[in-house]
Amino acid sequence: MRKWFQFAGLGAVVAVAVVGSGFCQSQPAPVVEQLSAAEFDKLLTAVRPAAGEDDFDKIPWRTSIWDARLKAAKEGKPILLWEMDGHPLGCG
Amino acid sequence: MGRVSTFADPEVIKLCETSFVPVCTDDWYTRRRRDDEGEFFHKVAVQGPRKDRDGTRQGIYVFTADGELLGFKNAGQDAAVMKQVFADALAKFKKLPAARTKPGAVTVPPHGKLDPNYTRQLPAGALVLRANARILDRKGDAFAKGTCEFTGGDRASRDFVWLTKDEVQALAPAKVEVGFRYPVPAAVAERIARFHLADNTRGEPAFWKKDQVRKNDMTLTVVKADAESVDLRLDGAATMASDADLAKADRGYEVKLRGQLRWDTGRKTFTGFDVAGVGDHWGRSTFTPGDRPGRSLLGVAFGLADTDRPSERIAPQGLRDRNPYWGKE
Repeated sequence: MRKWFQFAGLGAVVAVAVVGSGFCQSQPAPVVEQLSAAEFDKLLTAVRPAAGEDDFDKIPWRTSIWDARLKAAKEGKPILLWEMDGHPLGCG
Repeated sequence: MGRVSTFADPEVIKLCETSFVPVCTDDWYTRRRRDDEGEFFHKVAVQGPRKDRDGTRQGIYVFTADGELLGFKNAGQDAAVMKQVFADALAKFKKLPAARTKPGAVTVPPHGKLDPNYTRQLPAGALVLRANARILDRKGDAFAKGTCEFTGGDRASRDFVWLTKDEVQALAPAKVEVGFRYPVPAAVAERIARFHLADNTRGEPAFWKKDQVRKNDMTLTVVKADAESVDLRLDGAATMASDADLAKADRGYEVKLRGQLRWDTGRKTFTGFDVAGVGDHWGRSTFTPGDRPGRSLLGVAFGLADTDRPSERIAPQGLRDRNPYWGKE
């Protein structure tokens, strides 16, 4: 997915267009201790949900009871509501 | 618990796809809403055991489009129990007159004005990032899923980051020149540190107060550019702690970040936004007991959300309190 991004061979390209607002970019940027590219790849894989870990997300959840009512009325189905203090699809 | 039991069960997933219209909401908002949706939910909820409008109304409900409750259970930790609840509710539905259940039988009016205090709408042009966190252990030079005694505490947590259109534009480089380095705008860096570098792996965390962000350096560097796009590397280091003296802080997180972003110069938006971080976390907050003892690794990962899916347009947990999230206090 990230094949488009290459860290190698960075020195060759210099473009001249100016984009963005430039907001705050005149301030010096601090030098930050870096994670390596290898650690970055391993971390993304380790942290993100593995295949099969988030099967609840296969369900075509709606997030508005009113929208669910409209669809249920149109299709002649009952509504199943999962209601938690903290969104069931977020909040940790 | 519903994520790993009831709603991960293949039969339930199939039922949701074929026999029900599935919907999820955050009860913190829904029970407080004073608008059409809030009133409708109140009418459904009082038919079950959750009659106190000011109390929690958490649970799993089955009801008709015109508001008749068909089934209720307070939690979904046992898939077998829930499948029986769903079967019973479907049986009740089938016994209702066709004049109420056939397609098109019920007319649902347009929703009136939304309650502005208890609804959150994605701002026009906003960028949404999916945010995951997970406890980790080191295995040699690799990272492995961490282990803990808290059920489900080893799973990737889930939240979303909202950045406004203006904030997205401010993240873009002012100079498209390889090597150009600039700070992540303060509002964005602060939001990420306060609301998205928190341990939410065991539920709803206390977010960091402004003065608990002890260090927060995030920079972007142009690493590649052509006529269509600019590739950027993000480097970051942040420390959040309940006390300025980390040795005295009962809760904290020291994290290093790295990211790969792609700015589309034509569309003026990011088409790549992968960020990962790792560092020591320690301590718990009120609703996140079961933390691992001492300092242990917590990883975070961010990536572009698919906002065509309603489930990826839900509000960040930290946005319940709007002003701090948007940097207004």
